[in-house]
Parts: sequence; C-alpha cells; structure tokens
Amino acid sequence: MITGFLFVGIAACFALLAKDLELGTSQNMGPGFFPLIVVGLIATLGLVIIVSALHKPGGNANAGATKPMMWRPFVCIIGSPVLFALLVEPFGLIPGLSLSVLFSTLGGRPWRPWHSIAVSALVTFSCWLVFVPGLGMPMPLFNWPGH
Amino acid sequence: MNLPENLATGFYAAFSLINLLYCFLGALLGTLVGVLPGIGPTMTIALLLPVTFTLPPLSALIMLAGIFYGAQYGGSTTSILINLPGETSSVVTALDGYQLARKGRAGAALATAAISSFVAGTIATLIIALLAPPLATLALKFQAPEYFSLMVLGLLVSVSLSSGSVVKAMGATLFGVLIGIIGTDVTSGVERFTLGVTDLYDGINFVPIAIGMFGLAEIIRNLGQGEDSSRSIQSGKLSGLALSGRDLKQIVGPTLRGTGLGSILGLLPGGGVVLASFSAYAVEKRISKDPSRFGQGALEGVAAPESANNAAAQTSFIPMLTLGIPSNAVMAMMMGALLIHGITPGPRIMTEQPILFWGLVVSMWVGNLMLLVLNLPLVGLWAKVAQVPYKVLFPVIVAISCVGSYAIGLKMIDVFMLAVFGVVGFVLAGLDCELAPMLFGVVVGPMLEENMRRALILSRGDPTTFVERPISAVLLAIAFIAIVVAAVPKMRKKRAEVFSD
Repeated sequence: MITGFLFVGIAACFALLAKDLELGTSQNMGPGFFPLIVVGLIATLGLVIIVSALHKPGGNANAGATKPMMWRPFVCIIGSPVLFALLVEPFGLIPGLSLSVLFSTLGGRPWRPWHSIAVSALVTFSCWLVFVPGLGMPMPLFNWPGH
Repeated sequence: MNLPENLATGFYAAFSLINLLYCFLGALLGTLVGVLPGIGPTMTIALLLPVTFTLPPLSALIMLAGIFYGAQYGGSTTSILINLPGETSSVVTALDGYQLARKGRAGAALATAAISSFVAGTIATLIIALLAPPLATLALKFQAPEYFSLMVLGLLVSVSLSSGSVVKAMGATLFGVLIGIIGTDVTSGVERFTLGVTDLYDGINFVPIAIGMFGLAEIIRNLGQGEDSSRSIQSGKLSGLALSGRDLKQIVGPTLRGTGLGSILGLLPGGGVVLASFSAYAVEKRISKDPSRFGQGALEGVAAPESANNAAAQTSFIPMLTLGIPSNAVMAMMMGALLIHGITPGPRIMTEQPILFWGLVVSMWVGNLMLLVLNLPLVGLWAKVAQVPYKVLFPVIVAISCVGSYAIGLKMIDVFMLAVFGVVGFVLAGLDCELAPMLFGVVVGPMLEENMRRALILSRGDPTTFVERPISAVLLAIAFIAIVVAAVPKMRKKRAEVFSD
C-alpha cells in the first residue's frame, strides 16, 4: 500500500519535472518521450499495488517496516556524509572526516565517548593513509574558510 | 585468432608482475572484507571501487574481479566457522558447513569449499573462453532494436529472479531507469530532472548510488536490529585440512553438477549467483541416496553450493563483456568501472581490446588459484577478522563511503548523493523492494532510451519494428514469458520454496 503510493508519488514528481520537456514524435523522440513512458509505467504499477492492497484488507504486512528504534541510526548514518560534504572543503579532510565519523558512531548503542573518539581517530588516519599518500588523491588535509 | 593464441595473449597480460600483484591484492582485500559480517560481495565492490580508479583499466578490472570472488569466498569461510553467512549465496553453505565445524571437521569443510570453488572456477573460466567469442560474433549482428529488446529481457528476467514481489521489483527497476537518465539528454542537449543543479548535468555518478543503497542503508538496518553477540567460533581444531580419499570421492559428483548448474544460471540476468547455490544444494539433496544427512554435516552440502556460486560468479561476466549488458548488481558495478575508464563493454571489446579481455579471463583462473593458496593457510586469521565487533566496523564503512565518493571527482555533490541514496535504499528495502534490479535499471536506463530512439529512427517511428525483426521478437517473447511465469501464483510459491529451502 505504502509502496503503491510511493510509486505514484515518484511518478508524479518526475512527471512534474518533465512537463516542459519536448515530447517529439516517435520517429524523432524528444527528451520528454522516454521519461513519459517510464513515468506512465511506474504510476500504473503503483496503482496496481494500491488496488490489490485494497482488495485484501489486513494483508498489509510491511506497514510497520520503519521501527521507532531505526530513527537514531538513520539520522546518524545519513547525517554523516552530509556533514562530511559540508565540512570537507571549508575545513579539510582531517577535521571533516573525523567529525563525521564521530557523528556516525552516535548511531550505535551503547555510545561510549572515548571508544568513539579512538575509533574515529584511527579510521581518519587509515583513510588518509590509503587515499592521500596511497592513491595520491589531492585532498587538502586542513583548511580554514576564506583561505 | 584461435583459442590457444587468445589464451596466450591472456597469460602474457595476466602474468605481468603488476597484474599478478593486483590480482593478489584484490583476492586478499576481497576475502578480508568479505569475511567481515554483514558485508556481501556487492557492498565490498561498491566500497573498494574508488580505490581502483587510479589504476590502468586491465589492472583495475583484474583487481575488481579478484575482490569479487575473494568476497564470495570469504563469505563461505565465515558461514562454516561461525555460522554467519556474509552474504545470501553462502547461506546454504552454512547449513552443512557449520554442522561439520561443530563435529570438529571444520578443516574438511573449508578444504572442500576451497577445492570445489577452484575446480568450478577453472571449468567456468574455460567456458568463458569458449563461449564468449561466438556470442560476441552473434552480438555484432545486433542493431538498435535487438539491443533494446535484449535490455528489456535483461531487466525483466532480473525482476523475475529477484526474491520479493514482482510488481514492486519492476517499479523499483523503472525508478532506477529514471534515475539513470537524470542529466543532459545526449541527443537534444536539454537538462532533465537536474533541478537546475549544475553538478547534475553529467548525471549522478554511479558509485555513490551503489554505496548508498548497498552500504549505508544496510548499516542503518543492522544498527536498528541490534547486534547479535552470540557468535561462537567453531574453529576447534583447524588442522585436518586434508581430505581423505573417501571425502574426495564424495565431493566429485556434487562439485561437477554444481559447476554445470552454476555456469548456466550465471548467464541469466538477475540473482544468478544466489539462485545457483540454492538450486545446486536442492539438486544434491534430491538425488542423494540418503537425503537425511543434509543439514547434519554432509560434505556434498558444502561442495555443491560452493562450486555453483563460484561458477555462476565467473560466467556472469559473459553477458557483460560480450553484450555490454550487466547481469546483476556486481556486474553493473564492473561495467560502471569499465565505463569510467572509457571502455564500453560489448561485442567489440574482444577485437578492440583483446589484451584486456583475455587478460581478465586468464586472471580469473589465476585469482582462483591464489584464493586456494591464500585461504587455507590464513583460515585462522579470517576467523579472527570475522569477530571484529560491529561498533568498530560500521564507522569504518561510513568513512570509506564518504571519502570514496568524494575521491571520484573531488565533488561535494557525490557525497550528498551518497546520503540521498542511503535514504532511497533504506526506504525501498524497508518496503520490500529489491535493490539489485533497481541498480541494474540505473545502468541500463540511458542505453535503453538511446537504443529505443535509434530503433525508432530506423523504422521511421513504427514501434512494430521490435516485433517484426526476428531476433528482437524472440528476445521480447522470452522476456514476456519470464515475467508471466514469475507473476503466476503457482510459480511464485515454488520460487519462494527455492529461496527458503
């Protein structure tokens, strides 16, 4: 049921974004031609799921897929790359990576500060070793906004 | 060129010192990461993909292939020793392997897994060498309509072989196709779905999509479920790696049958490897004189799935290399890696890049040999690695994901996309949508559109071209049958049995 609405929603979003794209003709497909077909198919599948879910009430087994205990790891694990992306260029690899790894450890339980700091320090060091001297990636290690 | 000459080319390329080194490194790294709990081959390759970007194409591919079967093999080691399959395809190995380990025959089980994998790897390599050239010759006759139909076939078969609901898998795949075409339309030069973000004009890089969906999403699930601390190691005595004559006799049949079955299933798009090990086990159980021994520690129960999944892992390279169509998520990533190096896999790869092609084929065999040599002596070490606590492991994965995505082009957008696809993967997996066909859709999407466009130009806009050309019609018919068969309730039940048996 949720999946059905999700599919219809995805189709609607992409359709909205595609509304200004030229359709063209089948002989000369415009940029909007192929997306329209795919969007149509996804919407149809979404409706199929919704309709078949309506026909058998109670058969909605995946309604509680996201348990409340998932929120903490979810926020920490997804937040970690976001944090990294925001920090890596203004502040450099070392501060960016160690802080975002530290943030990700908050997703595990029980959280022990010293353990997490040790892990993130070690991980940051190994990543630096592999990517910067190892693979020769030109990443600034330390930085300060404006410099 | 004929076969011996081709193989000679391959041996020459694969045995250069640098390629041997990368083959070894790949097998070692793959095993190391594959042994870690909760990290399967798909995730291992996604994580290590950025590491290979700086290598020359052949070395990169050799290393990735090494990582692939290394990870595959690492998974079986942990299933035998600690009943903790690193990935779906070793779930079956754990059934009998762990029982053998509990009876103090861990050594025999590990040796069986190693030997049957090696035999399967050798035979499957030969199959690739024999089958790929004629298939490529055939594929050269393909034009846009055939390619379009072939891709539709690939997508639908991978949907029908996935384990969840067919409708959901199909929807996820189409969603993947849409994601694949984000960016500049190649023909008209118009931006599509970029929301005006300049960094998305070239499309979304494949690597953050793969790492986000298979790496980050998996971590969230694992953390949410809480860790199971009940891992008891059954290494007991790891001596006794040698097999007796009677043991060998027992595993010859299952190994050969597993290899045959695996080689065929590996060619199919979709969950070839997983399906191979499950069905090989089921076959052995059915034809055994004493089926009750299975699940109690039968060597056949280790030999059959191990040989099957290794054979399938090898032959799944064939469609990718000869047709340019990946047959599963791992191959999609291999193909992504090739494209990044500017090599388009397809029927021409054999004539245009003979060294690359045959070097890879030969290195597969070399890699299998290395695994055999590497794994048996290092088994004790792998058992220890497997016990690394998850609370240390997951920050490492997060860090590699971030730095790896950033390292592709030193662009922040790739890291943001990593987060976005972590969410997408988590939500879709939570709703029981299969992620593997979706990733497949991402890779195939742009090619699908391009070939459809070309086909329709050739036919002057007449869509019947897809059914009027004989090869194309046959491919579409097979695709149609595959999806109908998977959607029919009776077959669905049978499919569920195969996956739960």
